Amino acid sequence: MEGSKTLVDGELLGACRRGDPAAFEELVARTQHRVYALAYRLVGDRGEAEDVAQEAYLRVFRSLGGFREESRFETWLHRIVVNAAMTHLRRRGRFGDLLRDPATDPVPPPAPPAQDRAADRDVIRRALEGLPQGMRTTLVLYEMYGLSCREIGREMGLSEGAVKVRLHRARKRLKEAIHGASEHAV
Amino acid sequence: MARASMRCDEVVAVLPVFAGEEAPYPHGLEVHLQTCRSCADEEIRYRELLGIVRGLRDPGEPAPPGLTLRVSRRAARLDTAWRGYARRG
Repeated sequence: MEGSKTLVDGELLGACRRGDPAAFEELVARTQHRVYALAYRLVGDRGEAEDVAQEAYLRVFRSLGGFREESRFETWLHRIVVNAAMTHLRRRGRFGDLLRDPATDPVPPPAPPAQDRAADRDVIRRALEGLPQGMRTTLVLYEMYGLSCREIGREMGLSEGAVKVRLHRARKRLKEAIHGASEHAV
Repeated sequence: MARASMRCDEVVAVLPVFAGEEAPYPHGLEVHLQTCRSCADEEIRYRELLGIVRGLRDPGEPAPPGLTLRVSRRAARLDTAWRGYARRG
């Protein structure tokens, strides 16, 4: 299973750049779960996530020759996946969902309390999937993949300030979906 | 000059902005959290929640079987097409 350690080292990248097909296949094999998980979180559909993952890898294949910052490979790969997902959503006419500001949509009732940490994760995963798409995308990219608000804005065609507002609303919405609204001083 | 503390409603409004960030909290927020149990609990809920969200990065959704093979085949076709194009000049 892929952990948080570096998945792709300089040696493998070098072999990919020299056009070694086995090395590229190895690169895909090592990163596929992470790439697919990100694509799935962004488009919310398994079949579409595979399309996005394939498109992202083809972009990697085309661009790898010019990529020199080995230590930043995974960040670069994540950006490519995000970009491929945004292109996909635009083509499918779903990009508007990302830009829509759902701040006034009703918040679903909070989930029942979980009994342990694994159940917590499951409840939170489901609550995350239930967020409006624009909020989910912003939260996923910022909190899980470490993109800055500026980078997210560049991908989504929003200002940095707009991304920050969306991020804060997403955190609040997620918290309310898990714990309910604050019980005092609202 | 900054106020010594914030009100509960102000804290509830700004917690989604500051909770879980590396930057230190504003002084007024820090002071309030030290003296208000209810807001401190709310702040802990945010931090724990965001901590779990960050841990969800590792795939919960495994890639479909055969993805590597399908990508490799498409890349190989692309590579062949490019090499052919380059040979034709």
